[in-house]
Amino acid sequence: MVDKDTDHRKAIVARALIDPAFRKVLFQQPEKVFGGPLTPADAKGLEQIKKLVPHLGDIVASVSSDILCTGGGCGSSVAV
Amino acid sequence: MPVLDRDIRRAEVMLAATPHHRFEINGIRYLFGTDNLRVAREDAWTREELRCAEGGIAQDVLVSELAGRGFDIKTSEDKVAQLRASGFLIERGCAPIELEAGQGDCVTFMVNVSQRCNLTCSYCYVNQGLFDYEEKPVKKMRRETFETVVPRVFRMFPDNESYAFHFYGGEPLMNFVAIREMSEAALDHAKMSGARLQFYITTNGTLITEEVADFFDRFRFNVYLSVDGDKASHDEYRTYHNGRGSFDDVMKSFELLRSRPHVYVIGSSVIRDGFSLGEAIGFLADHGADMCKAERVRLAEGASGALTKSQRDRYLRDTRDLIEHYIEAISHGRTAMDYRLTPKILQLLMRRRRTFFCAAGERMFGIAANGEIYPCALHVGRRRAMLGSLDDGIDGELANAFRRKYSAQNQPRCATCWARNLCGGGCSAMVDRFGHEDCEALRAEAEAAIVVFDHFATNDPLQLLALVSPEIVAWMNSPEEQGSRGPSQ
Repeated sequence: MVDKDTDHRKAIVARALIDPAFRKVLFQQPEKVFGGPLTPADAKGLEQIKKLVPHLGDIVASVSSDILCTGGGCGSSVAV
Repeated sequence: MPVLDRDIRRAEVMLAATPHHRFEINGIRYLFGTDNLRVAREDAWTREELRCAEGGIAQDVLVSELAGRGFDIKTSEDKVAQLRASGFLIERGCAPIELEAGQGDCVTFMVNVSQRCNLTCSYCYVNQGLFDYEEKPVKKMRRETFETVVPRVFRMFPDNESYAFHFYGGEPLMNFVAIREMSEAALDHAKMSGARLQFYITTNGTLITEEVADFFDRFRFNVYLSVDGDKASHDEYRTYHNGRGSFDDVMKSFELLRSRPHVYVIGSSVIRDGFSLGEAIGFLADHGADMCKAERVRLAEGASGALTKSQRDRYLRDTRDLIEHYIEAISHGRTAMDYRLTPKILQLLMRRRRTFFCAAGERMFGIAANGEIYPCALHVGRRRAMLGSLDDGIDGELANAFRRKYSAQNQPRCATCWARNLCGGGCSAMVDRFGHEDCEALRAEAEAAIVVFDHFATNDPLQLLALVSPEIVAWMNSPEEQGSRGPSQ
């Protein structure tokens, strides 16, 4: 059985990946998107989305698979 | 009358097949849209439809052709509609959809802090410290140079949200003081600007002490550690100047790094004669690497260590065998140990073209030990690729000319290649040195990526995000702990 909340989260992620306007609302007024105050789990999820979007952009745009040209900002999720 | 109008319009619709690549893996036939990056499975219907539509065909004629081959009219109409919806058939004369190219934010500087190495691996491009210089270059980056790197990077790219410093060589740990001081300076800058930082190092693993490991841990380094399998295999090529193998020292370093919780270890192996891709991945996985980066050796054909034809074929088979490795990892919400397919799979998910192989010359640069700036560390010493210096900055015209030269669009070999929008034209440094000898491997990777993507695309494409963010996938798939929510925007 599909949980409607997991569907909701998937819908948020799917749209956040492709819709800059939606991302703006999501990051600035997340309670509007989530339909109320964020649970701790959703707050963590939102932080992950914030990290993922630029990371994904870098990977899709430019990270190559050649042995010598490693990483370039995206080889792992570790950052300071 | 309305019925007649509709029939006339239908009859006037001329369809043409869009450029595509077809291939078969494990008994399943796939279609890949060269320009629209669409993926579909090919069956008898689609094969026939696309064959009929090659030179252009009226929609009604196409339906009739299919019906004449034993397919019923209704199904034929539905199949044509499906192929139109999936972009493999378009109205002739209509411009195909131009997909966006991927865009990144992170700017990366690969810094050659040392251009000498304490090993003498014969397959190494560094060429005994000569790189592509005509005369022996500066051995290591001097203080007066490395102290300028960080401030000038932040001055050249003042508004980025993310910066990466990748310490390279030679063996970069032969100049640890430069690495430490640049990292600390970068952290100070980032604290002021709020930018994110990522640190990388490519090392042969022979100079990692407790002090170095602690430093990597503190700065959360991503460490590319060169390990070529077991002792016999590793020591065959990776030797000190006195001929002694480096395996035992490297494995001690491996253990040190694994004991530091914030160090991300990417095992890096060179596949060559007698050392297969499957063996490399297996070895690195067994020894606790977080990720594996194993690629075949780049040597002139016939050179010692170069792959033979049968070994190249095995490499391609091993690449296809990665399909299962990826599917299993993604199905369990994990990143894959191997990484080579990940960018291409995510390109398919996001439907983003790649117009250039990597960010070289745009958001990635190599800084030589003397402060010269190149498109990346692999171009260091090639005067024709030099883009500027730390003192003078980057010449935008030279950088643009470099990007134009090696883009997929401007390389004749790429113009007819079905994989060009996934590959971006190949590594400029390798194309410059060896030509397009790597294309076969890149195409095998592209096919494998298409198969992995297709496996998840229909039912749960977001599961593919496990490749880069298992945390998000876990969050998406976990039930809400506080009950359902109200309406959302």
